Amino acid sequence: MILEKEVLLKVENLNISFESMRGDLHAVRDLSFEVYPGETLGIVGESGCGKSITSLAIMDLLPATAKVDASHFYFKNQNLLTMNEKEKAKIRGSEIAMIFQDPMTSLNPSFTVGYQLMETIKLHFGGSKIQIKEKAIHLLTQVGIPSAETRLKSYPHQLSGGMSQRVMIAIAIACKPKLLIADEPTTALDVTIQAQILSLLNDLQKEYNMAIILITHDIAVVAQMAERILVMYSGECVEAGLIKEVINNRKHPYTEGLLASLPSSQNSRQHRAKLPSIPGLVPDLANRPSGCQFNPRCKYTANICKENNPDHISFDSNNHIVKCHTPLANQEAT
Amino acid sequence: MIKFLLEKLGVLSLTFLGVSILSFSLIRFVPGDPVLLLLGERGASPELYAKMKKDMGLDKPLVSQYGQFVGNVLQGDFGTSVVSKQPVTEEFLDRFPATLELGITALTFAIIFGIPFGIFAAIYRNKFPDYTIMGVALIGYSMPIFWWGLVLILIFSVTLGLTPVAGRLSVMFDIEHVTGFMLIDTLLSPEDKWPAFLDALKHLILPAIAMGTIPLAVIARMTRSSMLEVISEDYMRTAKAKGLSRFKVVAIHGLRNALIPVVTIIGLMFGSIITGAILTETIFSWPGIGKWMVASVTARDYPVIQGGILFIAGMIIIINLLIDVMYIVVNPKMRG
Ligand SMILES: Nc1ncnc2c1ncn2[C@@H]1O[C@H](COP(=O)(O)OP(=O)(O)OP(=O)(O)O)[C@@H](O)[C@H]1O
Ligand SMILES: [Mg+2]
Repeated sequence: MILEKEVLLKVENLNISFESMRGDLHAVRDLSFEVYPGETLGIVGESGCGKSITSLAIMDLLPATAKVDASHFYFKNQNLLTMNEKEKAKIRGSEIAMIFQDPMTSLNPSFTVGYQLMETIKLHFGGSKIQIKEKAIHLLTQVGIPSAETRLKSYPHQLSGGMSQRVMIAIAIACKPKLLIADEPTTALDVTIQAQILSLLNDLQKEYNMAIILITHDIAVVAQMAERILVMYSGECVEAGLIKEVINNRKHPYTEGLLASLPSSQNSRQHRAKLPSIPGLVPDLANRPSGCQFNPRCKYTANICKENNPDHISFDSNNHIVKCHTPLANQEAT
Repeated sequence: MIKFLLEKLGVLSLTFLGVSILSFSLIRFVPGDPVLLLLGERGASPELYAKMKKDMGLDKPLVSQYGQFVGNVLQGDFGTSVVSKQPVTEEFLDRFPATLELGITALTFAIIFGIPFGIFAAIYRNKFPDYTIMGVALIGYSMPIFWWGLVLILIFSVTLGLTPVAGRLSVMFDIEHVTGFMLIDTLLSPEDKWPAFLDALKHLILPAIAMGTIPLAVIARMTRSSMLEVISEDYMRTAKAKGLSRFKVVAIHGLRNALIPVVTIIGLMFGSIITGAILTETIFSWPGIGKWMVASVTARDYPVIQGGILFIAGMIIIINLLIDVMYIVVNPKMRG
């Protein structure tokens, strides 16, 4: 077990809801997780399960209609819930940085790459114009952008998606953050670029000893990148633990479903469409099912599943937890 | 860029042709005989009337009149005023700076207040400041200029006695016309610099407000809606995630993008400013081309009307061209 005081980010019972005309939509419910320095935590789940809003809550970037509440919400030893706007701004970009799903729209079309990169450096480090520019060139080179100096003068629309994401990464790592939140960093990119970006993130993580929260709906990416995994379903954590543990010894039917929809090494990616997917739809937030949120789609639903929402049960000593009344039996590595 | 400008120029020359036909024919469809007006109903013996008509070239068929008009214009001759016997070009150049000064001041006023109000309303969307600003903007937008100008005069000139009622400068100042812009010319004059400048400013302020009110309302509304659109963009979230203050996120990352459509609107407004000038200049006796055009229509002074409209169209066209260039400057995507 890692010592408690080393925790970088500690989230306990995070709840996020949105005011809406249909009443409050409870989008994230009692979500708890920790992130330790230098590690990668993968968060997976279907579209709409609350991955993005969870990460936006950490940076306090949610719209004003969102209500965020938690019993414990700390970055290092700072309470994220009680911090004022100025303290938050200080952490944003310097200690916690974020990259987003769509790099093309995440960069401002009216400013050059150089401006947007140097702006961050200037904000958190200061320095002379020449120093800032040198640093910017160094960063662009580091994220694998050729002829960095001329690229500084480019506008975002002159860059490809992969290049844009590299620029976003350069901006994010400019201040050597302790925590990088990557919200589906490769979803908008094509497959070969995807692999390059992921390996870039890997290299940078080692160099800066930065923790990464990697958000994706592709469990294969998490398996390749992360030490620990958190599986979300409808705003709740349904299973979490060490990546090997969870993949080899999946306990939750939903995790099983996600893994079954993965192509095995023999299957090429083209076969993906034919792979089994989980039937049914994610629940409507305004009209949640009673009991376990997954029960309407679960193969193993018992009566109790419809009545009570299960608590987390813990397996083994490595914090492998699952939220299920009928956890799957132990199995050998597949 | 060059190709873009050439294309524009092509379209513009066609526009010019259209305007010349319209300005030529419209005034001739308006009832009222310029010769009779000039001679006075009683003084017109048939011989004198015919001679006058011939001198003015109005006895020829319309098509050849038009041909003559275009031919002269192409040689730089816009004709001579029937009333004042001055060349139209000279009359125009005498008056245009006054209108331009008024128009620029009015638009500056509209921009200086309209853009911040729009941003403010967007930031406080659906809250009290937003409702207040948009409510006032709606009133400003629907304000009849004529009535509004009189109200301003009533309050500031008549009741409070703060500003003069008419003209550009009090008669006690004798200022040489260098640029035609009173604010500049007063500062260039050797004596009475500041008192004259202040006097010119006082003359300018009410008509500028009257003329700038509708543009202000339009700019505020446009800025607000454009800003609201921009505020929900991904890059605004990125800017905030970098640690920029709320103010910087809006003022730097939001504004540049939000202003792109606003610049277009401001450009279009510059044209409408000249139409606005017709009313405002009449109310405030401002010696600009608005007042000039009204007077020439009343007198059926054909050459002045034709030439004046061509000049005005030319100005609008040039301004539009400048706005297009400016649009390219603010929007990097247009630079290709
Ligand atoms: N501004 C908002 N107002 C109301 N509901 C919202 C808002 N933003 C998100 N939600 C709801 O919160 C839930 C979680 O959204 P979130 O964006 O976190 O999903 P996600 O897991 O990131 O999905 P994806 O894979 O599509 O990015 C969704 O059901 C969504 O409808
Ligand atoms: Mg998302």
